[in-house]
Order: sequence, then C-alpha cells, then structure tokens
Amino acid sequence: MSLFGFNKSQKQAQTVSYAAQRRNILSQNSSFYVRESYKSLRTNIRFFQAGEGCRRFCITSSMAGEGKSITLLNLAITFAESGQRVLLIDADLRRPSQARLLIERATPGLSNVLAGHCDEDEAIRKSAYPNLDVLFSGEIPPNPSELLGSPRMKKLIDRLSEQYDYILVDAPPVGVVTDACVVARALDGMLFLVRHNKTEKETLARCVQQIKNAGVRLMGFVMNGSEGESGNKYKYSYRKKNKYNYGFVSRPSKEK
Amino acid sequence: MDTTIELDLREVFSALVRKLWLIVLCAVVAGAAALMYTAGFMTPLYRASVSIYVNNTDSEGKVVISSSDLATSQKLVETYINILKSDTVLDKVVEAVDGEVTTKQIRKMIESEALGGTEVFQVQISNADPEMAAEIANAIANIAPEEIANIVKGSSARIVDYAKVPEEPYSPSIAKNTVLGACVGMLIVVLVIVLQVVLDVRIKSEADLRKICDAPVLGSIPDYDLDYKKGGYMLESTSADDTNGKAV
Repeated sequence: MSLFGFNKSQKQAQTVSYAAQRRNILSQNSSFYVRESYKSLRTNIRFFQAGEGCRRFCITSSMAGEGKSITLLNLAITFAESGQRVLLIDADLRRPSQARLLIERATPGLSNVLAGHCDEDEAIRKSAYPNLDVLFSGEIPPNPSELLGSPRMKKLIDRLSEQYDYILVDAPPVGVVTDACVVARALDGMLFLVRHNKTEKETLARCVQQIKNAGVRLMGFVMNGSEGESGNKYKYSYRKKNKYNYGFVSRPSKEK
Repeated sequence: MDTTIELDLREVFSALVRKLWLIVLCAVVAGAAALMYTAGFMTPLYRASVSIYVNNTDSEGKVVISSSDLATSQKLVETYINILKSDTVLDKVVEAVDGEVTTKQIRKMIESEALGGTEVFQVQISNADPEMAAEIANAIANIAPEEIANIVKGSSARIVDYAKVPEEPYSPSIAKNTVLGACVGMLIVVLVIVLQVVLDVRIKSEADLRKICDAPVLGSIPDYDLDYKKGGYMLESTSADDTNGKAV
C-alpha cells in the first residue's frame, strides 16, 4: 500500500507480465465469484437487445494494460462452456496477446489469411477448451488498419459466422489506435472494457465519442477489477494458502 | 467537458476513513514533535503579580464612599494602568532593579487588567527568571502609587497584594501545544487526502461510467488480486489437464 493513490496507479500502468496474466485464466480453480461474474456477462450479452443478441463483437479499452485480452479470453471460455461454438479472433495486429496467453504460436493467423497467404482453415486452431477455436493474429503486418477494414475481413467474418455461434474479437485500445472501430464494422457490436481505478474519465469520454462518430454500435461496458458492490459477494469457502498452481496450459508450479 | 469540479462527499468520507491510520499517525507525529519542541526548546515564563487598589480621593479623609465615587474609580483604573506603563514610572523601576532590564523590556513584560469592574487592578510581570519577575513587580508596587498620586491629583492607590516569587511557569503549556500540534498535523493530512480525491480523474464506480455514457454496464469482473489476497483460495494441482499445454 502506498502513501498516495497516484503511486499505485503508476505501478498498474506497467504491463503485468504474461505469466501473471495467465494466472487469471479461468480454470476449475477460479473462484466462484469470478466465474459467476463472467457468466453474468455472458447472459447479458446473450440476451442483449431483447433476444436479438450480439453474436459477433469485439472488445476494446481506452488504453493498454486494462485487462482486455484476458477478459475476452475468459469470456470466450465461458461461452464455450455453455455449449456454444465459439471462435476467438486476435485482431490486435500491433500487440497481439492471445498467443502469449495461451502459449501458442501466433502464426499462421488473421493477418496471413487477410493477406491471402493461407486459408482460414489452416490458420484456425482448436484450443485446449472444448467448443473454443482460436484464430491468432498471425505475423505483425505493416498495415493493420487496412487489413482489418478490407472487404476481405468482412467476408471472412460472414463465412465464419456460419460455422460458429459466437465470434469474439480482441481489438487494440481505441484510445490508442482506431483499429477497433475499423474491425467493428465487420461485426455486430463492440464491448468497452473499463478498469476500475485506472481508466481516466476524460480519456473514456473521448473514446466513447470516437466510437459514436465511427457509427459503431457500443453494446455496453465491462468493469474490470472492481471491488464489488456491497451485497454482491457470495459466500465462498477458503482454506489456508499452501500451494497453488496456475491454469490449464502452463506446467504446474509451486509458490509459497 | 465542462471544467467544474464535482465533489462527492461520500467518496471523500470513505477515502478519509480508509486513510484513517495515516491521519492518526500524522497527528501523533505532529503532536510528538510539538511536545518535544515545547519541552525542549521553549523557555518557560514565570508570572508575578501585584494587585493595587485605587481611589479617586485622598485616602486620608473620607469615611463614607459614595457609589459615584466607585464608578469614577473604575474608570480611573485604565488611566492608572497607562500611567504605570509610562517612562516616568518605568524608568524609576529600572533604577530600582539596578538596571538589569531596560524600560522597553519591562513594558513588554507588563500585563495589566482591572479585576472584574472593581477598583482593584492587577499588574502581571512575565519573565524567564521567577525572582526577577517578582522583583520587578514589587518595584512597580512600590513606585507606581506615588507617581500616580503625583499625576492624578486627588487619587490614592494602595497595594493589596505584593508579588510572591512564582513557583511554576505559566507558559508554555505542554498539553496545549501538543494538542495544537496534533490538530495541525491532522488538518494538513486531511486536506491532502481531500485534494487527492477531488483531483482524481479515474473511474471509481459504475456511477462514474453512467455520467459519461448511458450504455449499460454488461458485466463487472472482480479484481483478481483481491481474490488471492483475501482468503487465499487453495488451488489444487490440475493433474492430468496440464498436458494440454502446447510448447511455443
């Protein structure tokens, strides 16, 4: 705990290491509270707009380091758990995270498909989770915005919509680059991730305006890192921490 | 965006409560510092006092004193006090104490007041040296009445109480200074915390979000660190599932 809150936010501004982030991937060992919050989110998305739903959407945030990628990954896992066929696309072609989170090779991936180097069937891979397939970013291209806004992208999404119930797309922070708004045009909506005690109000307002100007449908917000409103906490059991392991994909390691 | 600053009192209050430990700590430190300074560095002052009775008539004479006499006397107290502080009187006092202090210095040491609307007034001398305080006070007691009688014809002054050597200092008050120091310390910290809350531009709640955009909040994911620190879930080995991880 630091003397003034400002110091803490500076610390949070540094990107958390991928190892630490992987710890937060949903698994059997995640807390009841966390899993329920994702299920809640899933339900709200599913029944968005009176049943019309929003089956193809991207996620963005105002700045980097707010937990967007891990949140989307966990959401994809949550959708897959309910039996839906889910495709997770890493459309952050500038700083792709999904491959690092899942410890997979990022190529071949989206950029390769969009550039015409390979078919999507070659690029899309099954994940360790049932019902969940992943299309990683591919190599970092010199022209990410153009690729994401190309008609090829739109056609790709439309084709994939026939194979999958849900398409979740990881997009770069809209406060940094415009890619998210570009890729959202090929989708049905956009989710905006806000990090408690980190996202700045002015920046957020600007981003929201930008999204409106782009004519993108903003479905709503996801509040990340909240301390929980009082009364929402469910009882959970806990035992003294002796050792714990990380999620599915990493090897077991012991700490403290 | 407009440039008004919104102050959410509840936010401020909860921030103060959260940082209560800091407030208390600073109050204690400031109080301790004040205490040390007061006890170690401030010179204690002693106060010796004489009380003098005045009357506006020659004391050798009247037997019956009327109420108008009394009223006049009370007004005269202020006059006498002024006379007492004059160079005429104080120069003589300086002589009486063998010139150990100057007139100006004595004038600073003097505090005088009429006692409760009566004809008695008190002269108080403050000095770091208790004996000196008493000496000066008594010198005044001896000299002043005669000088007053010289200047104000038809008045008389008599000593009610001579000064005793004070045993204990009247200032500084260690308790008072410590409390004062603690209050100042507390005030500064509170001010800083409030400022911090007011200037904090980050999103703190769903209410903050709603102010910016009316799109719904579809989900709220708790802080992972919170989960780990509070309670400590025992995460057990996932055994066979680990083999699903692929090499990079």
